[in-house]
Amino acid sequence: MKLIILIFLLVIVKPVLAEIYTEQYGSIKLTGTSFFQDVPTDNRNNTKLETDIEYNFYLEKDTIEIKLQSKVKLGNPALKNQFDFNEAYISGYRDNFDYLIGNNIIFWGKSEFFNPVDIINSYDFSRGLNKGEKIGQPMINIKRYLNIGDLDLYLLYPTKNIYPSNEIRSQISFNFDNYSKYSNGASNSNIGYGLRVSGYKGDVDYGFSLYKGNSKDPAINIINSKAVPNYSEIDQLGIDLQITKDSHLYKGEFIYRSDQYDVNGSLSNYFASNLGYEKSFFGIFQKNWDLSLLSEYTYDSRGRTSHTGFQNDIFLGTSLSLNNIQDTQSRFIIINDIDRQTRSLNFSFESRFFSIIRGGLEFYYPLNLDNDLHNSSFKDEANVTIYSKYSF
Amino acid sequence: MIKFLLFFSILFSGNIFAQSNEEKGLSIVQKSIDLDKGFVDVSSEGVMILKDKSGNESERKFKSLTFEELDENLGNKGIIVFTTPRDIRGTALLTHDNIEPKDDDQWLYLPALKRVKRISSSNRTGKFVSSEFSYEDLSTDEPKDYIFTWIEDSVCPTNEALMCHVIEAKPKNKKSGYSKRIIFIDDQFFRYQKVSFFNRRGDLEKELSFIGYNQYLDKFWRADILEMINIQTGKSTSLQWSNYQFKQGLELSDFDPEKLKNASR
Repeated sequence: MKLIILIFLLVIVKPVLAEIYTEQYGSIKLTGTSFFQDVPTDNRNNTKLETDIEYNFYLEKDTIEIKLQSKVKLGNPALKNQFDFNEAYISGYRDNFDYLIGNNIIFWGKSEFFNPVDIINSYDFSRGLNKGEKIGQPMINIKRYLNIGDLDLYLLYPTKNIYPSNEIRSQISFNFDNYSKYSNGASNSNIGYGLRVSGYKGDVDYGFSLYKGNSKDPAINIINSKAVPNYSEIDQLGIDLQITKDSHLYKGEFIYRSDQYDVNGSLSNYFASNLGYEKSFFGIFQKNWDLSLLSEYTYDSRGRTSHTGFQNDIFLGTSLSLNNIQDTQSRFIIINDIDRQTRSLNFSFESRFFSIIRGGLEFYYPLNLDNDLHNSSFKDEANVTIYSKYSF
Repeated sequence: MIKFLLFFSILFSGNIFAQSNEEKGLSIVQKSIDLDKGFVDVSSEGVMILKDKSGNESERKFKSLTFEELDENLGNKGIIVFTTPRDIRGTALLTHDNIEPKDDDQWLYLPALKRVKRISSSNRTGKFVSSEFSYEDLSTDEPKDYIFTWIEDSVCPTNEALMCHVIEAKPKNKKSGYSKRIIFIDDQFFRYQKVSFFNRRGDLEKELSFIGYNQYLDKFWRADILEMINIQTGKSTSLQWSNYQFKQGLELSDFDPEKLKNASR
């Protein structure tokens, strides 16, 4: 009997197992943030400690793939969102098209600092309003490969942003309510859809996109001394382009969006763009270092009533890669609001230590945001973050 | 009859001598390239061991996919997906080779951002993932890109049982990091055995040895190890290949930038 079972296992089970590929991987990340000064009138801590544990399971059999990414986020103060499945999907391919069902992160755009066309995912601001992370969007995605490029169709289940708990910095002076409002066609059952054609021709990479559904940028209404997100339904047409000529990269993102709440809570249609230029210098100082100079200019036809704060701003940045065994790199960015002459600085450094630990620091320093309507809540939020990450 | 044979032997040898050293160099390199044609596609796994002059080691593992472009006016397509160090797992580089002087087209997939980014490929002298291999070193020799000159035939430096054609390759592109390369190609199977790289000043900078050749599908030769030693810095990189699989049915569309996400999983 045992022999029969053994033969059965060898004949039936082994071929099946042989066809399945699985992989598990993940990471543990420790992060500490220290703010340099107190915020008047609140008692939020000046330090934050966070631990992220990420686990990924991947399975592939024939033309079917399953991916599950789960993350546990522990913090002191506690984060509002402590568990997520940002990537949890089944996908596959057949002939000339791919399909995907489940939660996924999607990136649209070409720019480095600000991507107006990028609209599919909502954001998790649990770590603070200046630390937004994309939330896995429940979707059905069908991709078809065409001669003119790749056509993606999306059906999108409505999601909303997650805002920080009362104790977390950085954020606005009002605490966020757990309740959200929907108006002007938006609802918590309003299925959205997206369409994108992307590809390249010679030196030009392009993307044309369309989105209809709940906005990812709600108005923030103050109701009973609480901040309440108010979502509208928007339509957005987008174009993103990049031209690559030797070591010069020319980038552009352009959108036309209708029925978006502005900073005053009024619905309006608007045009926005981001024009960028990147130039790389290779092997500087006769070393293997690469230096990139980055600049972007953002425009919003609504001017100062824009909901984003990037209505007439210039981003200037440098990125330095040492191209060493430790993959050391650093970046420095200054954001200039031309209308209000306000500025903030960002610096980041990252390297690999002891061959297995990825670590680094991020530094944020607002220079004069007091008069900046969109960013004045960050005027006292100068901080430094140090992190280390072990991947397995 | 003897005079007749003598006449033909002189005529024949006269044709050989009429071939210039440049023509001979080009014909040898061309033959090496032609013998490798028809692989269609190939996948393999690589381990890159980087050593500094103190002996400290760092390891990178990756998967490689190559698609053979049959149109001589276009180059091959290739994808490299890193599996270690684990913090860069899934980072993928897609390269569409172009014929000189046009730079290759390259896209990088960054898994943390879920983003495919077109990058500048004009950095042909830059180090490939911090190794002693430059991007230029990893590209296939295209006959139109170099002036090849046969120098001599001598014993192969990597295998004394073999004779090698020694060929000088001078790049036509001024962006090249080298003034010339000296290539050793064995006269038996026309396989690259060793390449010496001379920097723009004309000094010997690096030496690349091809070790442990195996033949696949009774035709295609691949070296198990590519050992690059930087003579000037003492650093070295060993690129170890394994698990070669040819003709897996890959399609040109598998080398589309949008497919990098799939390759990265």
